[in-house]
Amino acid sequence: MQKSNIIFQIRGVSKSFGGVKAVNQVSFQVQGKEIIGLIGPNGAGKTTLFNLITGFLKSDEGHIYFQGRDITNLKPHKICQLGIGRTFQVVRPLSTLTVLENIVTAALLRHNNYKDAKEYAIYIAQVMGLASKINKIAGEIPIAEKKRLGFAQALATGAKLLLLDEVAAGLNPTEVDKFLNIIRKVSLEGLTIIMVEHVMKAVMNVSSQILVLDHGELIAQGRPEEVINNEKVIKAYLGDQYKF
Amino acid sequence: MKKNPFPYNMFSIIFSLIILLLLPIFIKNPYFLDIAITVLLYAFLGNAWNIVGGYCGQASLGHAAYYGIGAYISTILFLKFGISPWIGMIVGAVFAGVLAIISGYPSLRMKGPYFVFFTIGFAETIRVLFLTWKWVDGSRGIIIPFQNNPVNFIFFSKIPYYYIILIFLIIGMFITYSISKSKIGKYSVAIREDETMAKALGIDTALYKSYTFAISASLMAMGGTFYAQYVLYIHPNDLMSLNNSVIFMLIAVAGGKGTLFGPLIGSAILMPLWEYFRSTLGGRFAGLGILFAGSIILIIGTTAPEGILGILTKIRAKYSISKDNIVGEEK
Amino acid sequence: MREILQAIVNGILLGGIYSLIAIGLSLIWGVMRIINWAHGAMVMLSMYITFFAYSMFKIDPLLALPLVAIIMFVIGYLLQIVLIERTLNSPWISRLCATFGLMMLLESLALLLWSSNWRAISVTYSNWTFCIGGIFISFSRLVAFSIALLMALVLNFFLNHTEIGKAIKATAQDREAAALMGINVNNIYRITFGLGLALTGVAGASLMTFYFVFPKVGFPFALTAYIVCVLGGLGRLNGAVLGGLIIGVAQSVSAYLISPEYKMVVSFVIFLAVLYFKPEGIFGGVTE
Repeated sequence: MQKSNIIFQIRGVSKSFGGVKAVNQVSFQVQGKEIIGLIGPNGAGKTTLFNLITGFLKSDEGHIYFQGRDITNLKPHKICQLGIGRTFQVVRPLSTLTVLENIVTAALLRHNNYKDAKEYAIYIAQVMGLASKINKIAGEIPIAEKKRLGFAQALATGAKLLLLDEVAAGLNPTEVDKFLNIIRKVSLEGLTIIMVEHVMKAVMNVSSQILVLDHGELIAQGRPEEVINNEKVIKAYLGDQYKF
Repeated sequence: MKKNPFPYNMFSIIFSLIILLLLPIFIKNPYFLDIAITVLLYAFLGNAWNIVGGYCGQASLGHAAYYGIGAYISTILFLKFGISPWIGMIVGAVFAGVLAIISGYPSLRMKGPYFVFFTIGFAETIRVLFLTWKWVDGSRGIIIPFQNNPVNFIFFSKIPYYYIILIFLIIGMFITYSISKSKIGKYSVAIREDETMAKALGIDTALYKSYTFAISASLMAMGGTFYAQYVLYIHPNDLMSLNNSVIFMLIAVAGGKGTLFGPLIGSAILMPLWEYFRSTLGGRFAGLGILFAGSIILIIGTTAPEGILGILTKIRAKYSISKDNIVGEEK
Repeated sequence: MREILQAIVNGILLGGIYSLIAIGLSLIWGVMRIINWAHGAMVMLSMYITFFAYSMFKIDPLLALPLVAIIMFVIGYLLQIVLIERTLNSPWISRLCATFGLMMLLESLALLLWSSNWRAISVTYSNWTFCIGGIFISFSRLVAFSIALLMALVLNFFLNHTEIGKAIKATAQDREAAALMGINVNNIYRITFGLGLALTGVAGASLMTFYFVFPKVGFPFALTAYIVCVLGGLGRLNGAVLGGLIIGVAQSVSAYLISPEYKMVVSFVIFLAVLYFKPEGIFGGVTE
């Protein structure tokens, strides 16, 4: 048995909105350096789950652990400080600032000195392929770059666990591939990634494990090849009429 | 717009500073000197507002409360306990800062209009409380006896007042400048741009909002003490009115909110006109000053959100593009 | 005991007016997500219009009421086109500036044109008072209250049972969906703003039967209206009605028990309490 290196655990977490269970008793664990794909039909509760993990929503029950520490219901900024970074489904750059300033703001979390933060930010910008854009106004760059900026910011906060919310949505295949390469690179550097994705090709290619959410419940978990043939998963996406 | 590392033209800054320092030598007429002092005072107050309203994006319309509290604290300490207003000013500033943190606490989670309502409500409550407070003779106001003496922060000539407020302004703007270059400043701007994103970047938004609010309120209170010592009469309705709060915001917004020189420019342009309407015309025509101010706010709201400084920057950008003949790359 | 009852009754009657003003404000917010900082100034404007209708043409305020409402509607419609529309895509501080600037403009124009003297109307029924069980009820205040209630019912009917009303509701819920369904959103905004101001017109005309007008009269009404909206829930019209009555009574009773100046303080304490404990208000308003 391989020695497990579990850095993230979620146990029995639920969240209801006015009687509707958006997330229902979800439990799973993640090992260090894994890339986990989180998939499921629309409305399955994926973003809600992210919001619960990152503290933007309060869970009704259950616990979340990161690096051995109970982070359930901590405030969002605290969770970021502890090492969990995220991107948003709808990109949120700090629009009137430049790309560099956006990343510097993120880097200030681990670098109290403005100069150090700036240096680190430039480095991150290079890793993310944004080096030539650092002086552009963040609100004016194309969407693919805005998404990369969001990713860069999450990285710059020194995150050990990255939650990526639909980074591939709305991007053309070339841009998607660029992203996947960055994800692989970043994972090799020691980061753990959980990515919510609708673009199947993207997530199947790069994940070591897939989690499938439907109506707030975890209905399948396993390697991409296993999950893709799972009947429950197929039903969830295509409905009962589908037959092989 | 490409941002260069030090966007302020050092030459024009030094030039303006020299003019400001030498002003009283050329302007002997006390009426005009008074206008100059008013301009500097409101630039100082607008700058204080700008820290929390422009940089951090928390548009408070209740700042007049701290202005008044500063004035009242130093005045009460002076008249009832014989403490020099200089010290009273520091006490007022500290008190205002603490009060800002405590009273601001419930408002930390409030967004947009709710936050504005809250600040208005807070200031109005403070105003009414002072108005009905017998110990400070609220409804009649307080007259400060004219015992001119530097220790008493009272002077016969307007000239010392001029230099004092000039120094205040320089200090205030220096504080704003330092903040803008520091972590507090960068975090405040992030909060202004997108508070949710700021949280996701590890920023304790409640903490930083409190910081900027405290600094802003403290400076406001200092301005209040200056006013008290200059005018030698304080009254809750003069100091803690919504009108005043709006003016503070207006000066910063008209000049260019979130910029270092915005409040100074806003004050330099608006206050002389305001004073003119108020003192020269008076009566029904006092309304003209407000009419003018109202039109400016309206125009800024609809067509020029970046204020006068924003307009100037755009003009300069256009001018340098045509001058340097740059094609394609947007400046 | 009787005095408190009297205070409560007066509070309810005045509360009706607050509700009326607040409904307009709440409607504008609910549909367009704008706080109309000039709302109080609009009440003032309609009061002046009513006053001049009487002083120049001898038209009784209650008769002038429909006319004033129509005039205010047109003004609102035009203002939306000329002013507010320009700010719809700007950050909220621009809308604050636009409507706040408008308020300052109106108040200073009023001061310029009509001076700060109080103006009031004296009609035959100005001093009529009933006495029921020892409680005095002013006829004009009762009429104003009834008109306010009537308008609330009319508005309710309008929003739920007419094409335009339903279009307004749809736009309030989801602007993009409404547009997709063929609703001309810009026009709905104009109508809504016009309606909001028309309601202030009704309030202003009603007020002139027992109150007086001066340039800054709108300010305390506006402030109270904001509090009422927050109390009832921004965008919730029945909240505005209920909130108006609650605040009216609170103000009246506190004026009696403590002192008139504390009216606003008590209102603000209620306001702060709501913002702290239940920011969405009684009926759960729209907070975004």
